[in-house]
Amino acid sequence: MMDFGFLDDVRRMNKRQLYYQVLNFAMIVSSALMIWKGLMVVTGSESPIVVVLSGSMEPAFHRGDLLFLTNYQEDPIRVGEIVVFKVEGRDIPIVHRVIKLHEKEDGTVKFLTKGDNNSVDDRGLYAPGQLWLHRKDVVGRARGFVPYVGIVTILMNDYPKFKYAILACLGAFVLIHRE
Amino acid sequence: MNTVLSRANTIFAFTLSVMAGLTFCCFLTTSMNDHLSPIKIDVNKIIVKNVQDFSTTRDKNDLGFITFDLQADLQHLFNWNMKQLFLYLTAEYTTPNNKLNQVVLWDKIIRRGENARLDYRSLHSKYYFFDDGKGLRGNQNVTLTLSWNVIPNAGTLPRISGVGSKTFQFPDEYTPGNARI
Amino acid sequence: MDAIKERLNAIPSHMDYKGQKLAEQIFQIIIIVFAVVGFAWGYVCEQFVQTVYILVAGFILSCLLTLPPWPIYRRHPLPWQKPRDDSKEIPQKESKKAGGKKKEKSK
Repeated sequence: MMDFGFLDDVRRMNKRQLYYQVLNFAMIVSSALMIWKGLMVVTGSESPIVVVLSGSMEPAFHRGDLLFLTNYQEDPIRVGEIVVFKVEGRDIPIVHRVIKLHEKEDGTVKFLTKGDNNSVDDRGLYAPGQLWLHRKDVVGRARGFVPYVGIVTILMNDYPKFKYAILACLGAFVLIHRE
Repeated sequence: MNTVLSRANTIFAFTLSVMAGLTFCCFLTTSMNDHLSPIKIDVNKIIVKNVQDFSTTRDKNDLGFITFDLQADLQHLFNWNMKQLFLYLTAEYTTPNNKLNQVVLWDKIIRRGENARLDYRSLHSKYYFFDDGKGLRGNQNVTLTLSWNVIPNAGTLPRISGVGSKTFQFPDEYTPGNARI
Repeated sequence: MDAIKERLNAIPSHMDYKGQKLAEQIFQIIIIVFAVVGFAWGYVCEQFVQTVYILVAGFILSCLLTLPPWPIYRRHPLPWQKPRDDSKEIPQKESKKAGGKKKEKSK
């Protein structure tokens, strides 16, 4: 039988409980934000955890795998490293491997990347006229790897309705559910 | 625990946590490996040309051609927390323009279960050995190293250089543009 | 319609408190044992996939054993008081107290 028992729950709450629920919700959101920002400080990367969204690094990384990034400025970029970089005009960062690198005396570095699964280098992916990546384009360098964990993100990306459904369910659950 | 659904939820959550713990333990058992291995590189033919680099500025840049031999037995590097090895052969050198140049000439993916005993003769490079300028002709100190990037099932992604590298020098004269090796 | 409902209601889906505790212990033990065995086996044959398979087997087994309310989980039903007439006021109070005590005990 369908019944709206959870609405009864809301109705039975008094103001104090309602505030408590809302504050609880706010605490979850803010602690998630704190962890994220804290990780940003510790790793030096603007996005310390990324989900692999394309198959261009197969068979090393598949869609839905999770990467942990660091981006320490004093740590030099070297060939063979897997970097996550942003290109002007694309909002999604790309995870590829450095295959060519030139570093000048003063430390300025330019490098070229390629996906393991791609047959050509990335010059076609860069902004028009851009031949090399520079230090500032790098979001992070891959340090750790966990498979499959980001699969929910992939589902959410592929099916936006699924994303809204999940968000709505989670939000409603946190607000309405009483221990 | 009072309904079938809540029991299913608890069991599932518990299994997932145990799975995470197991994965972490699996990573711990292999985290102490140094992944080192001896390798042997030899260079056969070395020539350098001065040609237009169409992929960059269309200026005339130095382009090196080498063929190389490669021997390595990497079988013992594999363990239960290794999905694949990404091998790459790097040429490293200094030019007046740049303090450090690194160019990957060749790479190979060895997945677990594939043959990890390498024995190549007169291998051609997979990628063009273009310098960023004219720094290859007569360059006395070009070092070839074979390195690998360990891709685990879960864990860190170390990059290790093989023990043993090869240093060679480019000839002092350009080979005419249309000559082949 | 009502007949179907009655049939559905007749299927026992409830575990008593002791049964719930027992079920929890059983699935925890099963999953941990399978995890440990799987880890050892995976380590020996150098295949982490085997560990995962064994853990999944443990998951399925514990689902089979603890999801349905088997009779073993229903051996300690709560000793509810018999419903009484509302006419007597004072004894009802007493019965409440008694019921509360018993509940605590059975937990």
